Formats: sequence, C-alpha cells, structure tokens
Amino acid sequence: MTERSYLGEFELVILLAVLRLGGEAYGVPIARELEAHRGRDVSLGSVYAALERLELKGLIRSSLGDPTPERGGKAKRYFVVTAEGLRQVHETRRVLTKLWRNLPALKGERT
Amino acid sequence: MRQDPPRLATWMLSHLAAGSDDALAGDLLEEFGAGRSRGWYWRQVSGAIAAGIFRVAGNRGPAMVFASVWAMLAPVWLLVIAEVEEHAHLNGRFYRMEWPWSTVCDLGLLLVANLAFIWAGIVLYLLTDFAAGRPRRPHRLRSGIAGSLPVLMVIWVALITVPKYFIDVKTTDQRALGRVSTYAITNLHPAEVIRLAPEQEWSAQFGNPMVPAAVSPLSALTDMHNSTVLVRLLFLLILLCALWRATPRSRRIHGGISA
Repeated sequence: MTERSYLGEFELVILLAVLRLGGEAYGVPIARELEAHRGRDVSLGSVYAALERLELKGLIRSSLGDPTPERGGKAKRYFVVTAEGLRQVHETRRVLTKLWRNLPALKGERT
Repeated sequence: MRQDPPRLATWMLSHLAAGSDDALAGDLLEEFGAGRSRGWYWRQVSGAIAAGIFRVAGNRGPAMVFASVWAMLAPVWLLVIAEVEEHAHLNGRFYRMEWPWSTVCDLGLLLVANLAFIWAGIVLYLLTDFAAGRPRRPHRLRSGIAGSLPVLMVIWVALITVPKYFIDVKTTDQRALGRVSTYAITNLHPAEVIRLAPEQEWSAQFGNPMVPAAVSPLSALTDMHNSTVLVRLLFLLILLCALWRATPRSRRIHGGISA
C-alpha cells in the first residue's frame, strides 16, 4: 500500500499556520491564527493533538522555550515544519489545485 | 487583579487529559491571563480531556476491536471447559475431596481455564501485531499477561461479594448454601448463572441442574442471554486491561523529538 502523501484539512491549516508564524509558532498564536482564518473558537487540546500527530509523522518538530511567570512557570513549546512537512504541504496544494481546476462550474458560482 | 483560573479545571487538566503536557497548561494560563473567561477555560479543559480520550482510543483501537471479538468467543470456550469437566467427572472428584482441597481444586481448574483463554488472546493479538510489522517488546507481553491476573482476581472477589443480591445460582448441592457464592465464580457459565431483577431477593434455588442454555459451540457463540453477555463483558474487561498494558503508548509531544 502506498503511503498517503497529502494532508487532512485540519493538519494542513495547522502546518500553514506554523509556516506563517515562523519562529513564534507555539500553541497560543497557532490557535489564534486558526481562529482568525476559520472564524470560530478552536480547542487548544485538539490543536495539540493534531500537532502530536504531525510530530509523530515527522512533519514538524518541537523544542521547549524558557518558562515564563505569566504562564505559571511553564515553558512554551515551539514548532517548526520539517523538510518532509514542507514537501507534503506542496504535494497537498498540487493535488487540491488540480482538483479545483478540473471542477466544472458550480451552481451559483460567480464567474 | 485577575482571578486565578478554576482550580478544579486545572486539576482535571493535569490528571485527566491524556497526553497533554505543561505547554498546553501554560498556553491556557497565558490566554486566561490575557482576559479569557472562566467559561472559556472550562471549555478548553473539557476539549483537551476529550481530545485525550479520542487519542487514547485511536492508539488502542485495534486492541479494543480484538478484545471485543475474542470476548465474544468466551462462551464457546466455557462450554468446552464444561464438557471436559463433565467428561472427566471432575466436579464429582472435587466434591469427594476434603475441604479446602475441594474448593482449591474447583477454583484452580476454573482459574487455569479462564487464564488460558485470556492469555491465548493476548498472545494471538501480539502475534497478529508482529505479523503486521508492529513488533512488541517481550516485557510488554509479560506486562499484559501479569496484568490480567490481578484484574481477574478482582472480578472474582467482586463476584463473590457484590452480586449475590442479583445473581441466582442453581446447584444440585442442597447442603451447599455457604458455597453458593463460590459456585457463582467457579461456574461462571451461561448455563448456570442467571441475572435476576435487582428487586428480587437473593435465594439459592436447589434441585436439578439447569438444562444448559448452550449445547453446541454455535449456540454458545450466538447466545445473547443476559448471563452470557455478562460473561463476555467480564472477559472483555480483563482483556482490555491486559492489552492496554501490552500495547505501548504513542510517543507524547513532550520529551519526544526535539530540535
């Protein structure tokens, strides 16, 4: 069986958020980024669950920052996209773009 | 000054959210400190707990499916054991022994029979896992096998003490009122244990043994009486506990791959 090389919707938006945030990608800004673009509340728990899946797949990696008082002395966990993650983002975009291009005109769509 | 977040929610986050780490707790504190409401904090903690449950269930999904299928076969195995007992006249032999040997042998036979079924299930599951390219470490196998024994014992103790108010056991031994609870665990079999409505008082019913509900492996497999379902549920519980220990957890974010 060939390994899946395209991403699910939530995984893709999280990877894109991590890419957009660059060196400031940790839980809070990632969740805010998702809220801003999806227009609804995001559960940080589900964001971390998705980040864990992505890390297990080797698409992102994480490192701990310094603990800060406003976080109760708890450190931030920063995420960066790996080369494999970047490759899968491109692959997913390629598949989605191809699908959109081949789509017949949708009912009610403005041209 | 801003209040602290709800203590109970914080406690639940640290104890009930499987796989969550300090980073998530810190993120929630940071957001709460930035003006999020207590309701938001509670919703986030609930979401983290739910995400943890789904994650654990996802990791252990194959084990849960296997345990369910294997537990479905439990009545067939118990029927086989009952037939072996009858064929070898084991009950009669045990009965003629002096106490406590009669009880020790009776319990020992059923303990061995139950454990053989559970352990065979664990080994088969780990073999299929191995065949699927997910080899387990030997200590996981040992852990699963060792873990099944205390769970089985706890269930037996519970069967002796708790359900005597709603389990009615039919036995031929008219003098054996004191042994009825022992009988319940040594004969945890669809043919001999009947679940009664809770309002019914406990009463040992003496007389002829019941006609076995299941007389062939196929009828045992398809038997859906309450007692048979109860037996399956107990085996399912034991198998789940054992396979839970035998299946490694997924790597958590913290302490995992770090740059």
